[in-house]
Amino acid sequence: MTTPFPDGLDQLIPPNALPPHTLHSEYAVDGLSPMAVAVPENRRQAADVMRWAADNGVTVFPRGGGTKLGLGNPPETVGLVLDLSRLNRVIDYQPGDMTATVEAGITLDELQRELAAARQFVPLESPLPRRATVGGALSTASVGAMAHAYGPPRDWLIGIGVLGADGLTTKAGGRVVKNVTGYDLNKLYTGSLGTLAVIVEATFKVSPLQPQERMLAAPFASMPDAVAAGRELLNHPAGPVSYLAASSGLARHLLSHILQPAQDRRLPGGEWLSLTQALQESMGGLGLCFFSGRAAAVRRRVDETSAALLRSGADDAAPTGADGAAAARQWAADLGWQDDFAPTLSLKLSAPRRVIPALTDACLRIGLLESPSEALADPGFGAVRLFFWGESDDAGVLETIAETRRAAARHGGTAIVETCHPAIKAQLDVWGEEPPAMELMRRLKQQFDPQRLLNPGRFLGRL
Amino acid sequence: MTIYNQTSPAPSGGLAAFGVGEFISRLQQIVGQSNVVFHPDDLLVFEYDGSIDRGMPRAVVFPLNTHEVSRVMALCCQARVPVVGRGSGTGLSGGAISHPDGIQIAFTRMNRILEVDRENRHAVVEPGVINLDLDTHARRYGMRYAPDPSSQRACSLGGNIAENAGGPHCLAYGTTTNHVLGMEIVLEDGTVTALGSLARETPGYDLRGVFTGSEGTFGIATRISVRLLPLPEAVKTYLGIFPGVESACTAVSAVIGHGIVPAALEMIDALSIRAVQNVSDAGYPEDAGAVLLIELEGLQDEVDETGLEVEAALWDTGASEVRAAAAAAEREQLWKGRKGALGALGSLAPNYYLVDGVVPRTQLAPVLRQVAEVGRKHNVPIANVFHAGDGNLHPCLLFDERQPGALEKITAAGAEVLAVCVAAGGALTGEHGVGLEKKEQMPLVYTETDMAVMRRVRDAFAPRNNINPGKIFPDGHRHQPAPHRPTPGMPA
Ligand SMILES: Cc1cc2nc3c(=O)[nH]c(=O)nc-3n(C[C@H](O)[C@H](O)[C@H](O)COP(=O)(O)OP(=O)(O)OC[C@H]3O[C@@H](n4cnc5c(N)ncnc54)[C@H](O)[C@@H]3O)c2cc1C
Repeated sequence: MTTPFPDGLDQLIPPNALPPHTLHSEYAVDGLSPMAVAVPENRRQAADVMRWAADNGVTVFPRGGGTKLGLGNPPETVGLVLDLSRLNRVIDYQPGDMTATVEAGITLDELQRELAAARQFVPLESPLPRRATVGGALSTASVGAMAHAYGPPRDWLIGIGVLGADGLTTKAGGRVVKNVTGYDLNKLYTGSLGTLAVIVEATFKVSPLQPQERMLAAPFASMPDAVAAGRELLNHPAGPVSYLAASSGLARHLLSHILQPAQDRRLPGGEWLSLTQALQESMGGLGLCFFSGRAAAVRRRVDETSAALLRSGADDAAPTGADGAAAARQWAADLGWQDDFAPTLSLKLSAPRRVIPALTDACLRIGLLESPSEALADPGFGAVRLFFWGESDDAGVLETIAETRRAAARHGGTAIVETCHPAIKAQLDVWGEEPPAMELMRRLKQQFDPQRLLNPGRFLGRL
Repeated sequence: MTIYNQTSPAPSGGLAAFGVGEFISRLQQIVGQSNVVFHPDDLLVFEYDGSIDRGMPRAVVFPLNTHEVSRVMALCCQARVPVVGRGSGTGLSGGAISHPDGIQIAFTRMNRILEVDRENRHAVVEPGVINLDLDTHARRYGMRYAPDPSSQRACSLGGNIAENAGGPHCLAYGTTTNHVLGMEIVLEDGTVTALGSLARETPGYDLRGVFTGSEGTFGIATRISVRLLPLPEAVKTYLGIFPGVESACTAVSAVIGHGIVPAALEMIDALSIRAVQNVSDAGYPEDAGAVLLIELEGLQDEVDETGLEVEAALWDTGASEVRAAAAAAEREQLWKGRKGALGALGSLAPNYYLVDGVVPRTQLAPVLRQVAEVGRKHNVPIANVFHAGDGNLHPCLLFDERQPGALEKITAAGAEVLAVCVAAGGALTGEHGVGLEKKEQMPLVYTETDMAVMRRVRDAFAPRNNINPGKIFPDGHRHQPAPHRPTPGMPA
């Protein structure tokens, strides 16, 4: 920005809603510090800030917990970071209606805690749920291990309140679980990375908490075996409700960092994971079978799945209780987003579920220089997350991305770069090739944000 | 009594400028002579849908493929002749009603199931495929198409997508939008594009999501990919007979309070029960005040366990009788009354007007009380047959169109029913759409600014507003309803 940054923000919101310059680097987007940061205390203040930005032509980068702020193309400049984490109230929760309306800055943990008091939950999954907010999970359409069982966030959002690029607050949908009054803008805002409007309020339909949760961890000689077995199991009526296959490097991390320590701490309610050291070393892939439901049904699913696993070549089928299952689910969601296990490069592939075994196979042949890739495949939902920990120059990383995208395209899928160095992101579109409907997407962006103020340049086609 | 938007201005240009004869012959060049209908007598059946609205199109075309649809759209756009898609015409909000100077595109010739993939659990269909035909076909592969509108024998997938249709089993499985993977669409200027894909997710804006439920105002879907679900291992249906609607509503809350989300949870009130029994014996006692139908699906173990809880909940909340069935034929028997209820209303009055309001589940009982109050006030009998599990009411206002003033009376009563629903925290429509019928009531739910944002989406898809104009948003052109007539192709 060549023109001086406009002032007047401090007149709109109290000083404690405006972190000082010295803290701005903590709000950096892809390494770029913002010119200003606002942390409004309520929706009214957020609207005032947005209107100020619109009047002054200042670009706005909405932020929830900052857990996935690196997702997207790198921005050219960062005007204002609009931190929504203080909009964290439960607005209305009626367990009998099975709906909950919350402000967008509430963390997923906090939301689930509120719902759990009435034995309900909303099937939203996200990395780092103690920080991740509802608004962030919706904007990025975050999915996790249970996506096959419960569907993505779009299936649970029934009403939304947003701040438009003009600073006006509008809503769509409502607080009823079935509603076709007007266009379904819930779908449009979900997954739009804050490029059409800033989400400030969301209403979900919620689900009863399942009384039982279990997991079976099954080591296979190879990752393709683990993926193929999952596909078979999911076709079995008494199979798992969701399934993930982890390649050996990831699987060892799960066992040694998550499940083993949990076992050592002897978390209550668990049947202990019994994978022997020898198996851990020889395994090529680990199948994670998730179960939830009523006790009798879960028992039968676990029994039938164990037997089927051993028949399909698994070396073991080690059970864990609810805590182990929850820990493994969260581990899967966190992968690639924690600072202490950060990959050089990670991609998320979406494809028709039928091709997941073949696609995973193809992806595992792709490496980054000498280092092999690691994959987490979801043969039910139709997704593969691919991770590279090796070191390479930019050209090597770019070639790896290109190769992955070719593999995805061959299988009728797409590949998004989830994390990598901003310098590399600047050389490609992290969302991949423009789809046939790109022109429609451009027109939508033009309609919603003609000044290009909201997360400019960060979404598909650098919208 | 043709009334669609009579007062609204015709688009500039339009048929008159082009010359009707010339326009028809251009259409014939595209789809073939026999696939354009334009004589007023032949157009009569295209004048209405399942709602109380009317509007005679100038012509109806029956394209065979996407290419023909595209050429028809381009021609109409160029000539400024408004277009509306027509599936089976079972819509209940006037969605398929034509602009008086417009044409309809009907999909009776585009009705092939193109692909069923067991491994990927999807089907690809043309828009004219009938909902039940797809489901029946999928069952041969051990799968099903879950959204099951009560009109499923007649309604088309194109119409389902446009209205985001629901149905009894949408309680557990979600409505149409939860099952659409992708589609090929034709925009108003003839451009063909693709939304979504055969994967669950694609990068970019979720355009197939916002297209679903856009009531035919964004474009024409010419090819639709939907998810199929595996068939459940066990199904069990419970029928509870209650002394009144209040106790039946308590039962609904009790079931949900047990942490059970049944596959379906439907209610029929006393007046509907009388109608059903008038037509054929569905086995309901004369003095029943309400009937609840609850269907459980899943693993045998789940169905057994939750079934016991459902049964207990029904007894605990005052059921005078509980019946259960697991075998298909017996379950069918329990459903018989529910499925025939709307048709049976004909035994009480020549016409009915169905209001699709939806309320939070805990508000069911108080809202139904207020709905009954509205009926008493206007002296309109109201029968309720509805999707109780998701709070989707269907009060049917009974009347006789031949009585002077009857239509005005039921429209006024219907509007009051909707106001009651909205005041209880609900919405105007759970599954039938806004269309022509409820557009003037949109301000009950949305502000001008809310609607302006929605219009932006339409402007992105259809900047010339040449596809299904005059629907959804209030424009001051209050339409006057015409009475309900039987819908072609609908089962009695
Ligand atoms: C007895 C009865 C029971 C019903 N029960 C239910 C129910 O349980 N649940 C429910 O949701 N609905 C129900 N309905 C309403 C109706 O059946 C649904 O709205 C259905 O989806 C309409 O399908 P159709 O093919 O008849 O569409 P039409 O009435 O022909 O058209 C409806 C809308 O779809 C648009 N359209 C049609 N084809 C296309 C296309 N290819 N591309 C784009 N737009 C298109 C039209 O322009 C119009 O706006 C019922 C109706 C009746 C008469």
